Formats: sequence, C-alpha cells, structure tokens
Amino acid sequence: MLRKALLVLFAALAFGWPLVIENRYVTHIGVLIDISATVSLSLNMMLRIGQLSAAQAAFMGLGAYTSTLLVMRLGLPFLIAFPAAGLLVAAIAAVMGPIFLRVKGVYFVLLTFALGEGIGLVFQEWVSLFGGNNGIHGIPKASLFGMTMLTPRSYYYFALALAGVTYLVAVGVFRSARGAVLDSLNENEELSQSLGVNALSYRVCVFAISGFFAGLAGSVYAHYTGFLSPEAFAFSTMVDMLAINVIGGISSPLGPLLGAILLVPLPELLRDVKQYQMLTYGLLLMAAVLFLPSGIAGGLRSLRQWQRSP
Amino acid sequence: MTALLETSGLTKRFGGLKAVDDVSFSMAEGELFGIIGPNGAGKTTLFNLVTGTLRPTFGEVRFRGNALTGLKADAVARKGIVRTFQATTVFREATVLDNVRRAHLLRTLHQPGRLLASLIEWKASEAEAREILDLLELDRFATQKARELPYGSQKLLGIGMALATRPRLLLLDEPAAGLNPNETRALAGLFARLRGRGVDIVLVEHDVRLVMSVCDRILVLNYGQAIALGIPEVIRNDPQVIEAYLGGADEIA
Repeated sequence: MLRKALLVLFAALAFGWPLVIENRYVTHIGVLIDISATVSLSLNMMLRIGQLSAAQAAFMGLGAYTSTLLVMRLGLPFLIAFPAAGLLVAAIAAVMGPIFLRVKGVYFVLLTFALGEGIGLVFQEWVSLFGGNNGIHGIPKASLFGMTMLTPRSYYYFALALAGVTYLVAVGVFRSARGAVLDSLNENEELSQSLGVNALSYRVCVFAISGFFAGLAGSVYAHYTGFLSPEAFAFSTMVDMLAINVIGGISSPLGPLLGAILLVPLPELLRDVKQYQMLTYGLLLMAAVLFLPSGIAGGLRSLRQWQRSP
Repeated sequence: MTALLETSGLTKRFGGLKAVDDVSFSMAEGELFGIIGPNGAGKTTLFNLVTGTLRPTFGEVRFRGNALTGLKADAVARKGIVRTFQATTVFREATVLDNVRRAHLLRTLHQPGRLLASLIEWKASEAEAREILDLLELDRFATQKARELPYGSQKLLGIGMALATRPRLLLLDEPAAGLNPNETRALAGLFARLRGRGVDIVLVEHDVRLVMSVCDRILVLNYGQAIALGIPEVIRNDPQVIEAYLGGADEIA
C-alpha cells in the first residue's frame, strides 16, 4: 500500500513540478536525475542477479556515441538512432555475456571493468570517428515526429518517460514466474540448475536488457547536452551509479530512483562549500552506508515492518 | 528390454585418487536400484557423474539408450534425471509452496523469453505444487518458510521439488539420513507411490536396512570400484561386501 501510494505521489511530483517551477537550471538537474536513474536502474537489474557490472557507464557512452554518429554521419532521424543505440548495446551485451557471465563476483566485476575501459579507450584513441579527447560538438537536438526538442523541459519529460519505462521493466523482469526463476538462481544456483534451468541464458538475457536501457539513456544524454567526451562515461560515472544504488537500496528498483533523486543534485547543493565538496560528499556517503545499510528503500521497508509489529 | 540407465567403464580421477573406478551397471525400467558402500566409496561422485555435475575422466552414461556424456547438469535434468542432495537443499527463505512452485518453473521456463509461457506456467505451477505437497503430506506446511520445517520434512520437500520437474528417474542421495524410524518408514511408502506414478528411483543410502528392504537390486561400491551387484539376498551374503564393511556383517544382516 505504502509502496503504491509512494509511487503515485512520486509520479505526480515528477510530472508536476516543472510546470510550477520554471527554472532552466533546476530542470537541467531534473534531466540529469532521469538519465542517472535510468542507468542506475540498468545497473540495479545486474545487482539483483548478483552480478556487479562495471561496464554500465561505458554502455551508456556506447549508446551516446552510436546515436550521435548515426544522426551526424548517416543522417538518420533520432527516432531510429535512439532505439538503435539501445539495440547495439544490447547486442554487445548478448555477445559478451556468454563469456563474461560464466564467472561471478570480483571476476565478473574485473571483466566488465576491463570491457568498460576498453570501450573508453576506443572513444579516446579512434579520433577520426569518436573525436578523441576533444569529443564531438554540435550534436543535433533530438526531434520526434517533426517536432524538435529544444527546451530542457521537453528533454525532462522524454527522459522521465524513459526512466519510467525502465522502472516498469525492472519491476516486471523480477516479477511472478520469471522473478521466481531469477530469485532461485540468485539464492542457490546449484540447486536451481539441478532442477533444469539454464542459468547462463537467464543471466545473459538480464545483461542484454540492462545494456539496452543504458544505451537508450546514453542516446538521450548525447542529444540533450549536444556535446560528448569520453570522460563523461569514465569509471567515476560508474561509481556514481553504484553509489546511487547502494544509498537508494539495491533490493528493489525503487532504490535507484530514490538514490538518483538524492545524489544527483547533491554536488550542486554543495557548490557553496566548493573546496569541501568532495569531502562532504564522501562523508555523506559513508554516513548513509553506515546508518542505512540496505539503502533508503530498505530503510522504508524496516520502518513499515516496525510499524506493523506491536 | 532397453536399460533405463546404463554406465560403462565410468571413471573419475581426482589427481591420483580414483573416486570412481571403471564402474559399469545397467538399471532396467521399473527397477528400484540401490547403491551402497562405506564412507568415501564414491557413491556421491557416481551421482555427480550421472547428473553432469562432474565430467567423467573415462566412460559413458546412457539414459534410455542415449549418451549423456558432455551434457551439463541442467540439460541432464531436462532429459528426465533429477537428483536430490545429501545436505537438505531447499530455498530456505521461500515458503514451502513456493519452493515446489519454483522447481516447476525452473524446469518449464528453463530458458528466458517465452512471455506467454511464463504467464501460463505461473498459474499452472501453483496447482502442480499443491498436488505434490498433498502427495508428500506436506500440505499443512504450505505457507511456512522452508527453513522453519523440521529436518525430515525439509528432506521430503527436496524430493517434492525434484518431482515438480516431472522426472523419469529420481536420484536420491541419502534421503533417510537424519530421519527418525517413523519418517524412514513413511519414506519407503513414498517410494512405492512414486513408482506407481512411473518415476523410477536410484537410492544412495547409508541405512542398509532400508536399502535391503526396498530395492530390487543393489550395487556395492568400495574404494570407487563396483564389488557386487545383485538382489538383496545375494548382496547380504557376498563375502566381499561383508569384508568391505569390516565386520559390519551385523549391520548388513
């Protein structure tokens, strides 16, 4: 009940506030929250199958560059470049998945980290295609059905819709029959396999779905900012996405949503204490991990259980 | 009559140790087949070889005439050979009903993707699970968490989960270990009901009395080698078997 009410409130607020607060800068932060939430949700899907993918930021970058190049070099419309960005990343995840997902834990983290760094290196070194460290400037604005999205607000709503769809998919994948299979695999893989499930194919499937949404988020990011450089998709971005998950709570898709809303504006709010910005950020992270070990979503759950018990 | 399960020259080496050494046997359809042997005789390793959990160093396993060599555990399970584990293995935090449901889903939705099938199976899994809980007389525990069950019932639940995959052959690894005499007797009754449903059983057991009373034929392993194979009366009087149990003649009789 609380969860439903919270979600409705959430959706209403997310939809309504830009109509009240007409501030380009605040709306800009809103777009970044949407995009971060989408990438964090894609990471959350992997975390829920017990595999920390360190490639999600690079996947986002891959989506961003794919979409940009399809529009700028081939002159394709955004309507095609956007899904193509997601599909390309999904395809890469589907090809790499059967190799990577045979290993677990730190080994998987290391492999995906190497993949992410490799992708980043290609962005940096293949100057003629990706523009190297100078990046790509003047990326055309996205247009849908003949209408070009110019204002931050239009991107806000587009990215909000993307985050919403990603949330619904993240919920749907872990629900009912498929959720039962994935939970079983996560809890006891040997037992699950002895009962007939092909564990690898499930993991690859989740990896591909997760890559798909990271790629879509990258596409929106590219056409919104109009400028791409490799550092936007470097490992530090990956760490931000992980922090969003840990602070929001990894056990449910609600976690990364809450985490993104809280963490994305934080550096902006701390701008006044500029020299202490990173320090304060770090201390806040530590406090959250210490006092809310299962994240905000987990904290809400314990609060609810505590209320129920007499 | 074609053999249901057959091994030829099955060998598993761990370094210098031959855990299973050139074991060949053939189990007919409708047979309740027992495997006994002292601790470390290679019984569980033999199970692991048959179910694809381990790859044999040499030799072959055939199920209904088809070689299983090279198949992974999940593929072997889909062929109809499903095992239980020595230590109770259930999804501890899930309810008893959900444990059996999950087992059904892990088999029927063994690959992701089939959206429609997953909807149908989600519904079907509950009816299937309730039927199995009735069969095992675990229905009164349906909504309890698996970890809250008494030990004996957890073991039964493990068998129930294997049944939910609709196996042709059930490999039970010490199902009576840790059970009280009443529960062991109930287990023997369950074997009879399972055979009535067309599920054949291979039983690895320490409780020699149980094996002698329910099995049609028994394979005796010692140091990885098959030292005897035959009906209980023959096994009971086999000097090599008595020797292997080192004065355990009382135990066997």
